[in-house]
Amino acid sequence: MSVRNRELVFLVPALVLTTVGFALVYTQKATVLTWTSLTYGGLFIVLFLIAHAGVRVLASRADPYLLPVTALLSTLGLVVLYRLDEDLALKQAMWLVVGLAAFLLVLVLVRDLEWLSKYRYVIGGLGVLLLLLTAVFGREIYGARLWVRLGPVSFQPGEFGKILLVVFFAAYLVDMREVLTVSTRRVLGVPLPPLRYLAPLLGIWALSMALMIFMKDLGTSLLFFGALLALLYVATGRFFYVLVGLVLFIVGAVGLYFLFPHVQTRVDIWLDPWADPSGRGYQIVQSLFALAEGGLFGRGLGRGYLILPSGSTIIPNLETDFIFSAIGEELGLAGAVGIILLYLIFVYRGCRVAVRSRDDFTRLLAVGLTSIFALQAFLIMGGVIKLIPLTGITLPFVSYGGSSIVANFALLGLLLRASDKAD
Amino acid sequence: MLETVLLAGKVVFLIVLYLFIYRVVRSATRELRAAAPVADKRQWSAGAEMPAAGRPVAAGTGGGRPGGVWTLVVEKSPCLPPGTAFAFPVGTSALAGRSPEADIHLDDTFVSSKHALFETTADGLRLEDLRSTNGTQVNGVDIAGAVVLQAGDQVEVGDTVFRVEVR
Repeated sequence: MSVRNRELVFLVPALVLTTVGFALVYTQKATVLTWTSLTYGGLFIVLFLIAHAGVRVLASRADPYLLPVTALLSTLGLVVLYRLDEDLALKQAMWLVVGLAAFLLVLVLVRDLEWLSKYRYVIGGLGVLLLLLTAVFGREIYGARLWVRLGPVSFQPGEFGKILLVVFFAAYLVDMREVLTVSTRRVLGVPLPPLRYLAPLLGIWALSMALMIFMKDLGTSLLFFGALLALLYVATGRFFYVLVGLVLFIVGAVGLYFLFPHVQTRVDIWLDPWADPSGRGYQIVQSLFALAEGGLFGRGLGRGYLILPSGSTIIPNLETDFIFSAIGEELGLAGAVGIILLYLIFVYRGCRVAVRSRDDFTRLLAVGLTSIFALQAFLIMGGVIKLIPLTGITLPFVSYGGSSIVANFALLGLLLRASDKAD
Repeated sequence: MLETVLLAGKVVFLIVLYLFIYRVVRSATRELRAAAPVADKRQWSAGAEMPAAGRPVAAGTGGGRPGGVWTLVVEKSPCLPPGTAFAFPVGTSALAGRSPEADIHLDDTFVSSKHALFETTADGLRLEDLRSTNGTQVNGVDIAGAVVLQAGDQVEVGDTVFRVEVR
């Protein structure tokens, strides 16, 4: 079977799940839902078939599993959003249209990855500019400054900034890896490169700290630091950088804990949400209740206690940060583990692109993109199940949110381009 | 009735989800298995039935076979003395890499642990790059996959340069 036919076959489950999921929610809640809302599911199916056709033309040798996994994740998100609020599902379906347009646009514009490598400084500058834009013009929502209003549309520039910075850093490390690998002396048996080559690491650290300090954006700052550390490790093969990175992380984390009440609250809630279950710990406590309620196989789509009689969701931010809890309640442990497995498959395919790449830039780009994706999924899923302190970021492709959907589809486009080049 | 339909729907939903995961994972494991025998072949062990190969020999000695023996001579290297020669009698092969188990052990950060494989074939001395990070160059040109070497070729593995000779 050719690579693209395989992709088409693997898209079928996503189409089946969309149909079954929408039908289930509709049957369960027929009294409150309108017939027309069922068409969002149809729209979704058509969209992914168009994307598939686009990949056939634009990147015919690309990995066959990445697009179907993305379709499945988007479908799960859309079904849960449809269950929460049909208007939200319609908006999300619109964002999927924009996202898939961005995906195809990336494949059309970036025919050659060398082009990205050539304009690395422009891209890096643009990335920093987007972040600065947020710091200066951003509006503070839920304690973090993430949103910039541009006319009628609000968006999160950080979502796009992170991808641009990964592209920049991958290109930069291709030049720097040789000097970064050279060791001049040993301290306690650990080979040390000249100190000035630690500059990039300290630079990223400073950037993450600045993000945290000026935007109070714990999630994005962790993402940057983790992903760029992974890149540095893959580029040089030196465990030393990971060690220094971890030390810097601990120093930063402890420092922020004592400097910012905002961070302190997050950690305190994580350690003991039951200290204030109806106040500060409310969100996490409700999320744990939802997961417990779901049990092994869930209460069934449309049957969870997710919405209060007043129409608002029991868990605040359910449609964005806490969508994983909603899936846990309605589809149970089986559904939640299924989501985690889908992310693992995505990450496995991303790493495979990196391993098969023929040149350093493609390889580092694939590693960087896969790392931010993996870290983002881990940070938010870990947050809502109280494994780690909560950082408010979206669950890629599943959560409601225009910026997140569009940025992640752009990321998918770059990854498929890298994969097309590698195979 | 409705209850049963909803339950069946949920079961179908989860089954389709896991069926997808199972199929992707299965094709991935197949792919890994398919790659494994190749890796075994490449993995050089001293106990293999092939004659000991690639051991350094004093320059100038050789098999004395008509046509001579393919030999790699170090021209320049950060880790081997120039002039070191590796002879390849018929039917031998040698792995070059940073790994201490490699037949041609190159202690150089720009060399991958299993970097390249040299083996004698009916056509002559064959060189295959084992997907090394920095590649293998013949006469300054990166090779993709495998090439058959000619006497007089220069092979670069990391910072080490070999000259191909027939002795």
